[in-house]
Amino acid sequence: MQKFKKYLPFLILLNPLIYSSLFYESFLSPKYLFFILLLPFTIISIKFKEKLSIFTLIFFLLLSYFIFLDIKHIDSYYFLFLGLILYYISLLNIFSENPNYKIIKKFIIFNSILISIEGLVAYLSGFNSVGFVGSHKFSAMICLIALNEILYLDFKKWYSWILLIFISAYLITDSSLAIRLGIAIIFILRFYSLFKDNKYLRFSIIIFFLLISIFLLNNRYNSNRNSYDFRKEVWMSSLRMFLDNPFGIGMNNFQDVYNLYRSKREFLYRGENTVVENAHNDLITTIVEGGIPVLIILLVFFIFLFRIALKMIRNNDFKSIWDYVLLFCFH
Amino acid sequence: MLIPIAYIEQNYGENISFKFPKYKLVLFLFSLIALYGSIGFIVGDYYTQQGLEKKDESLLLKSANMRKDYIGWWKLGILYREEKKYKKSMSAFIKSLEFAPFNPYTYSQIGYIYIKLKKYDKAILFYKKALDILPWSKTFQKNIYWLKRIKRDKG
Repeated sequence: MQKFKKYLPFLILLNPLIYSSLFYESFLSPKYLFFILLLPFTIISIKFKEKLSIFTLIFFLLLSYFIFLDIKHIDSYYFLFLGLILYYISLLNIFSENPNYKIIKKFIIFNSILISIEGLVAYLSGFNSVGFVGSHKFSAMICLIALNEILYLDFKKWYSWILLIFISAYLITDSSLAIRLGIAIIFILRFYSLFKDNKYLRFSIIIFFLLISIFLLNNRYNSNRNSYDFRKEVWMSSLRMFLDNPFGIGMNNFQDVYNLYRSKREFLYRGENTVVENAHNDLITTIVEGGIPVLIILLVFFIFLFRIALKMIRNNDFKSIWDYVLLFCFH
Repeated sequence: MLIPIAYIEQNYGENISFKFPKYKLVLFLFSLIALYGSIGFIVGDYYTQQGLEKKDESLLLKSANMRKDYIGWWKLGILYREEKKYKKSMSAFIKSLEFAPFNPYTYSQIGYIYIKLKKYDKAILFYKKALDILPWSKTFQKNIYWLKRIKRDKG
């Protein structure tokens, strides 16, 4: 471990190289390298709870079912499998009580700072950012982890303020509605826990945020109506796909099979020579591709998470519950 | 850049234990399999970028074999088509259909190649296949209309 410790600062120093857009996005993009660097690190740090380890077993058994749904796209399956494993590992990290997790959290914070700087530069200069996992939403999700941590930092230290400004700037400039919702929930819970002794103040904070959200969501809906209509059409087609193929269409096959279910309205809206790569909702895409077994996995998964979250609310453990907000920041 | 490093240096490496239980080994093996499987895709994608930039057939062929998805063969097909190597282009598009059999644009590309080879009957057939998948496409409808007219004029 001592040897491993020695190399950690070098790994961290390598990060700016990874984020350089001079490299090809496809090969040296952070989406692969970050996880490849993080993987051995993460596995060492996991401390399973008993329930989690049983759940892991069920998860992997069912996962192996939908990986072999269609052998033709075996490489794509592996690719997706990798993503799911890493996503799952990162979730386990969130629940891990192991002190090693501190280092990973710091590593994530460090990366999120780089992303936020990159994102800010991209926003101000007008150039597109390479992104983190190929998606600005994922990078914003990582920034949310950092935001949660930063809010618990000692604000007497000047650099805490700089971190907060950078990361907030990235999150505010992000266009994802889910991310904005995530930030709102984080702040609601933050205020909620600050005034937990004053019932009336706590209640009024929630009412205040709800009122604000009505105006914000309404404004967002009206300004981006076409995008919502397009999504609605895609989701309706996805439902038809699911009903016709209850056991899934095979992983990574959404883009291809969707052509058979494409509605006229959506096609005319998007125009000729356009492809719909996914359902614009990770949950729907995964359920359509994997079918009922995947639906069961996800339901069990969310019921499990919801139960832990409820326990945390009862114990007034608001610091941990913030991490749950991240789970709902799907694309 | 120094700020985050300073932040990380704080309490760095506290209480590190190094245990590796069996169930973690299983997880680690799963991850290794996943990594092994994805290497082909990652390297293949790199070759795609390089091949498109340099317009190098061999790189794109390498990438198509490594990626094992429809995009690799599609890109190769487009490059061959641009270089007027129509037969090679068609075989690349047919290979692409193995991975994505419902892609209407692949059928239309094959139809286009048949036009270039002056085999209008087969071109109409492939455009009709594309139209079956996307019945609202005006491009496909127009192409079929013009192909039928050309066929009729030529007798």
